[in-house]
Amino acid sequence: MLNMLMNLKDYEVGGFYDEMFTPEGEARPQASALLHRVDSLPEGELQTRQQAAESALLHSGVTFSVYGEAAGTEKIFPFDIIPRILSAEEWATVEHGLKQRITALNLFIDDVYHDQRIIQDGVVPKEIVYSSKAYRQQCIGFNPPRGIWCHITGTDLVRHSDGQMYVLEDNLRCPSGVSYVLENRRIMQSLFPQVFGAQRIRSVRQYTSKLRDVLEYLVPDSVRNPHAALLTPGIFNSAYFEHSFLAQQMGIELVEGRDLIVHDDTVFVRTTRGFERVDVIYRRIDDDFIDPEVFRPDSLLGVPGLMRAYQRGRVALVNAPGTGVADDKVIYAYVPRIIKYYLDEDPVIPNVPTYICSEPEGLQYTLEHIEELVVKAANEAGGYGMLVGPHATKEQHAEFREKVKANPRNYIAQPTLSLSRVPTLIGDELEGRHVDLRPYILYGKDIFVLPGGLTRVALRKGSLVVNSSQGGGSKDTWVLADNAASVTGNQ
Amino acid sequence: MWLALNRFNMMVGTAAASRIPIIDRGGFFGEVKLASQTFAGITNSTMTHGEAWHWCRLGRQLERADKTSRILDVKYFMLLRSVEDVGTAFDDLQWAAVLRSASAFEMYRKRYGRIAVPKLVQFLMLDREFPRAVLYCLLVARDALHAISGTPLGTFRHPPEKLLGQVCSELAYATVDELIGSGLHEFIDDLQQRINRVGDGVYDTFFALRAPEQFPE
Repeated sequence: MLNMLMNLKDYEVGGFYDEMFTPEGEARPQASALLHRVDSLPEGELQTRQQAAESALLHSGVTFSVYGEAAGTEKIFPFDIIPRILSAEEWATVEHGLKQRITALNLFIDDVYHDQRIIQDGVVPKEIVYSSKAYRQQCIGFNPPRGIWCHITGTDLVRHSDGQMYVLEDNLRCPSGVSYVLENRRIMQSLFPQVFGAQRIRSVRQYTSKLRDVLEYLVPDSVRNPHAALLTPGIFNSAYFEHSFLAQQMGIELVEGRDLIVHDDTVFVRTTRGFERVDVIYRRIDDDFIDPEVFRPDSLLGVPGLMRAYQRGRVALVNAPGTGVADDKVIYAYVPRIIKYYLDEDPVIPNVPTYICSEPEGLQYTLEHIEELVVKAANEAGGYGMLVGPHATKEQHAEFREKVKANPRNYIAQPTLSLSRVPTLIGDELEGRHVDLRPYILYGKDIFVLPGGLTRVALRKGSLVVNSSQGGGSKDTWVLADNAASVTGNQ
Repeated sequence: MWLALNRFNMMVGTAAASRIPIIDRGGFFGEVKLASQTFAGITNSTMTHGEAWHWCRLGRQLERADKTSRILDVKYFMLLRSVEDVGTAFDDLQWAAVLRSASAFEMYRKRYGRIAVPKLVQFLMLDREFPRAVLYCLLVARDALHAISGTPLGTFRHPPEKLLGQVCSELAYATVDELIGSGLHEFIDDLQQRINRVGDGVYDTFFALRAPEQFPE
């Protein structure tokens, strides 16, 4: 098959799991329609379309800013026009696994702030929960609206060379990136209309409507016209584009802390016609910064009194404060046991094997094998505070050994996975590059998994780091519809 | 609308960051004009003509009234070197350039034909149909402000409405001879300060909400 494809005749699968080709070099069934379309393009056409995509993203303002560079430096999140494609059967498993995981994690969060049965039954050690930076004493005993803590989750999945998908980490605080999913798709549809016409690719466009439904679901029924707002740290935040995009697409107000005021334990937004009550806030500000009266007193981003209003049930916050305890990277290691404990089921999508440095065996193994492991700080995100053993220098190994020894609770280690690859346009050639996948899960009246997600790609040859802050890019993710599911339906 | 704004922002941003001076200035400024007209056109034809749109209109018209008055003042006050120049071919050329700066040349010709200073001041200051004329701009700004607040025209509920209404009335009942007779430069100077006060008043009234007594029950 590879021989039939002229543009792809030099493509090397290269001993990795390739999302589009079998090890023998044959196109996987879900990829063959696209590959033939790509192959039928005249020489140079793929590059032309790649440039068209980049300029469309730039002009649409689909940008992010990188911390540490000059203020106002905006870049597009590099985009590659070759998508990642998932078959209907495989997606069904992913969807099932994510729903299972989120259900269990929500029960876990609720439990650790109430009866703590899971601690009493000895499944998760008390000190692990209590030492998590994101465990909030202020939330003990609190019942969030409709019993939901983690309304929006972006779970990172990776496929190893064994072909199996693993959960790499759970992002339950303020997962970002969904705006790229929606914008990437819009651009792909205009670049490859024939492929979208010929194949049943499931839509992602319903996301913002679903998200709005989640927000409104949290408002008591007695409120006739719920007033929702998206709280952003402001224009200097790296994800500001996403904040403004989501607010605009949902038709809700985009506000900063200074636009909100708490009076009589009720939240109001300043408008040109005076103050108006706010019922639900999708906050894109971490717990630490949302209310200087309760959390960091030096925060200028938040709203004094917001937690008081929240705890009196006057306003809903999405995600609930305190949710971050479940995306602590040490707690992560316990998630398979958490799923078993609450649901009495085995995890559908397994965890990556994880060494917990606060356990003596885990610590010893990590220190001895640091050259081959990925070491992660428990409360960091975005690829910061992380060591990729095989790609690091001896000095970096030594430095991390010291860091881990000094604070074992703060670290976990995992084997370096051989992430799967997808053909990616590098210069004039298609070359394999490593990818991960972040699907988005919404928890409202029911749990909805957006069919697709953000495929992040490490654009540097051989690199495994897909984070946008460190040379990563993104691809559109296509989930094919089987005959039973409609393209736009939610199954 | 956002697309047009982004393109415009990038075009100007790239030029500002460049170390090489712009050689083709005419071309560059032409692009700037085209981009701002495109933006205005798109907002006009795709934005709901509700509160947000009225805000856009209010801001644009106040700014434009100020700018037209400045363009006129440049020639009337600053380029007028001596009385002997008045009425010369050179003087005519400069007045034509003033009209062009306000995109008013063609419309002025249609209305008055020959260039004569009183007619020109009449056209740029007091015309009610030419969209760059100061009075026209202020009347539209006043309409926008009243559409935002819901206050009936001819009455006022807060300081900027009062100020803007007074400026509009004064211009509406002024003649060009009065303007020139009492010193056009001084008049324009005063007008600009009053427009600024309208802007400040709008900020104080609508954007600087502080007092808790304004909470709804």
